[in-house]
Amino acid sequence: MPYMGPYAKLKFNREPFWHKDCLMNYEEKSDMEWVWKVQAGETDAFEVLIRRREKKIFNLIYRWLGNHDDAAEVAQEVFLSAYRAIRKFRGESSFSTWLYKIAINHAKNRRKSMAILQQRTVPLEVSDPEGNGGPIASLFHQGPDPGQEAEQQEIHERVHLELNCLDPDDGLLILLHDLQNVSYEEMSQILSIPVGTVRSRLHRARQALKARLAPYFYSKEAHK
Amino acid sequence: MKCKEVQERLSEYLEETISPQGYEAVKDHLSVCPECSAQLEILTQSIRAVADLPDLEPPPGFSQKAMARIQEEAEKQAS
Repeated sequence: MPYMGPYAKLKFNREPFWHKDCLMNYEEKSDMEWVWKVQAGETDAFEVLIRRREKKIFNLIYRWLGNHDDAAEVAQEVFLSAYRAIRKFRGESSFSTWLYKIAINHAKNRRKSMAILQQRTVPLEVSDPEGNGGPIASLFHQGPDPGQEAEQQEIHERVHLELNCLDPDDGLLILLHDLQNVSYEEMSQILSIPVGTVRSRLHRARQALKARLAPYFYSKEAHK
Repeated sequence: MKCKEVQERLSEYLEETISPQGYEAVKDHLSVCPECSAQLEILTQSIRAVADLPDLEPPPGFSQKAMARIQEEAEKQAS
């Protein structure tokens, strides 16, 4: 029986649906086929769609909001909203595009409420799970060179911070394209703007990030 | 081509989404301008640094928790 996490006993004292169905079947079926199952009343089938997308969605929101706990909460809301709306999904776009749209709307709303509540001078306070003992810390203990590891971690922290200091729309474009490898065409659908506009805004956003990171990279060069 | 114009087009240059003439003009400028070459290097490092950000795992039990809420929702809808 695979590990099912601390929530396994809430409602799911059973094996995950996709295990029951058989792994090959799970991997072979397209998102749309799982969507049809959910639309036909097989609620359990939604778990497959969550498992396929949870990491991408969670990481996009985490990097955009800058906070791990908020990202976890918002990502939960995203999947709940997607389930509530799934009967209306007709496959005009891919499931991934549709889900990204929902995720961005939820994260946008969270950004607004965080800004109102916290009234910070820096756009959002950035929580740092990559820092001391966060969930990512273990990733940095596998390399052979502690100096290199520390340097990598410092770069990650700096980039994470500077992304959150950008205009939110600029940060989002960079995250979608440069972090999550979303194509210009898909970004155009997600953001409902023409491909040319996606391109030009991304180039501008990269310039803004470069301007913020330049002093850091220059100082690193100077210390070499 | 002047430095300002070159620096504004570096991102397009990197992706090669610039016109062939534009590409050559930027390339020629970069070969003689250390400042713009340094800017290109910083831009490249910035883009790479974003791409290298590690993916975090969602919190343990993420999908189970989501499914528990969804099952509740489904039961509500059914009743």
